[in-house]
Amino acid sequence: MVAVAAAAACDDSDPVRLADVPQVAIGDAIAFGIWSPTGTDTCPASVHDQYSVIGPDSLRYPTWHPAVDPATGCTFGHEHGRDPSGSDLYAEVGAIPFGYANQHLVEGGFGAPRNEDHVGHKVEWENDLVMNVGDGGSAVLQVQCDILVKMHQGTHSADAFTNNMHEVAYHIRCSDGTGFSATVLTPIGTPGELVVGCDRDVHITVGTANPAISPDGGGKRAIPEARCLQERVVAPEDGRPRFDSALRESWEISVSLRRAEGGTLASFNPYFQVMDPSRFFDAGAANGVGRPIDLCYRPELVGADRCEALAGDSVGWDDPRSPFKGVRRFVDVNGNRVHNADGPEIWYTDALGRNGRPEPFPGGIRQWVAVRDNRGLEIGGGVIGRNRSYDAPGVRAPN
Amino acid sequence: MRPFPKSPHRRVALAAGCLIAALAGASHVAAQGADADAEGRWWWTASASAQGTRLVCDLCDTSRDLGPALDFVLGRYAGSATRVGLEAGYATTTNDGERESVWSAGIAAEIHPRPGSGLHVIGGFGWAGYRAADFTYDAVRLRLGVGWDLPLAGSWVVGNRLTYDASSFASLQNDGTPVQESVGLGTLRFGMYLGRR
Repeated sequence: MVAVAAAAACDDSDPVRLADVPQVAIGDAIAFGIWSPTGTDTCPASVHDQYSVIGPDSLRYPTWHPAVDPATGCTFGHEHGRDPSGSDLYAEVGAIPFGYANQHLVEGGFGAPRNEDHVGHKVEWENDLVMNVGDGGSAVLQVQCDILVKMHQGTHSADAFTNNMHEVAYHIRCSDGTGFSATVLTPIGTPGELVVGCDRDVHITVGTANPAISPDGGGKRAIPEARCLQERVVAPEDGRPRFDSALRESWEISVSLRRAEGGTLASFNPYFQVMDPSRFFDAGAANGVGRPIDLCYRPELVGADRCEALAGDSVGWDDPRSPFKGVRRFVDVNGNRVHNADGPEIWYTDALGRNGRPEPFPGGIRQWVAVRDNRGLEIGGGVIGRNRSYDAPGVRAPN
Repeated sequence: MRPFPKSPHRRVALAAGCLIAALAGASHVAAQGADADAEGRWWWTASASAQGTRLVCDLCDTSRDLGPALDFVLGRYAGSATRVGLEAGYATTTNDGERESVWSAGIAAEIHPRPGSGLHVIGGFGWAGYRAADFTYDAVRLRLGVGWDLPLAGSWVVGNRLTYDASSFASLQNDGTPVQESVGLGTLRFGMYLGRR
């Protein structure tokens, strides 16, 4: 039904593509076929698995699909964000294989695997996004960018409380010549700990990361904690509960593609924000997972703020009627730096974005970096998807 | 993404050519009616104008509102119809909330093609400096314009002047780092002046 792989493989001469994508799969990636319906989901796995793409490694990967299958009308119960086919970069980039960096982590020399669930892959994009340039430079220079990004950001389980390695695929092309396509598994903050969303100075050690050898990364995973709910929903100073303020989750990543001999090829640091996660950290709960929906049943919060949508119904955390299912998201694009004045455009890095060299190597992921040095421009800013919601029929946590 | 305009080199070269031709022609005519008594006399002009500014490069935001500009020229007569001097100017405008400034300094010449007429041709060259937050641009500047003296009492005059300054072949820098090469800067000023001849 959806042979999205073919769409990405038509023009062999285009150097921007992740690779000359094969037409025939030689097998399935680890990430393929791991979703199966539960609860209120009405689509069988066989329908879900029709949404696939063949990666540069000739393995079959899952990719973006709508929340409702247009052919059968069945629902998958989860969504992957904005349809990437609307992006101006889609013709260059093609369908995004979910789990490609995860797949090649160990082969590239990392000592342990890291695999992620299916529903956490979220796509976002914007065409002709007007960027900020330097300090006050937006009045001097006009830079517009097309951006297509996929982040694995699961906000329904305990995974991100400890696990800091998450896959990001990031594609950007700007009118000044800045551009790169990066697919990496990026460590976000410190493994085993989270940063409290409502008080960034507080770091909570939750447990051991998976894998235990996960490296430290830049940025942070700011995740709501029970205290945030207490202060901003249960007992706010002004008496007005604010779920969005208490639950806002921000994954602030800091990614770079680095040369083997040292030095940065490209770097970027977007913030991925979720306003309605279906979980928060509660040290007293099983697995540390608290459910915001449970607060809606406290007498003082019935019908208040986001609980209003329940209209008195009593629903579970994974019910489509829950207002907390991770569908309201946006991305702060922030800085985009390229230091590749001498080329080449094609580099291979390991899954962590390191060890970059022009020639392929086992486990190496093909990255594209424009031959350019945009030092001084300081291109950044721009928000994608601020007012979008990806809610759709059947969508529910886990999403 | 939209395409952006190309380099302004040809435009500046054309302006420079016009300036040289105009000055050469005017000097020739003025020399025919030169009054040796005027030579060495001091003159000055202070003008207030409205300035339109256009920064030109592949990525430049070319649209700006008009802003006020001030110029001052002080010099001596080289002949009854030809005067030269040193000039300095400043103009400013607000663009998307950012304060932008254009500074200028250099040598100016004013030549009356017809002795006794208030009409004069303005030429000059020097430096132009553009400033906006951390962005800077410094370049050689050429000026071409016209003015019209209206005599007041004694040696005092007022008048209107229209000048165009063109700069090119320089880089735009952000905090000292070049971010655009071959950037052009054009400023058009129209205003009034007060001076002594």
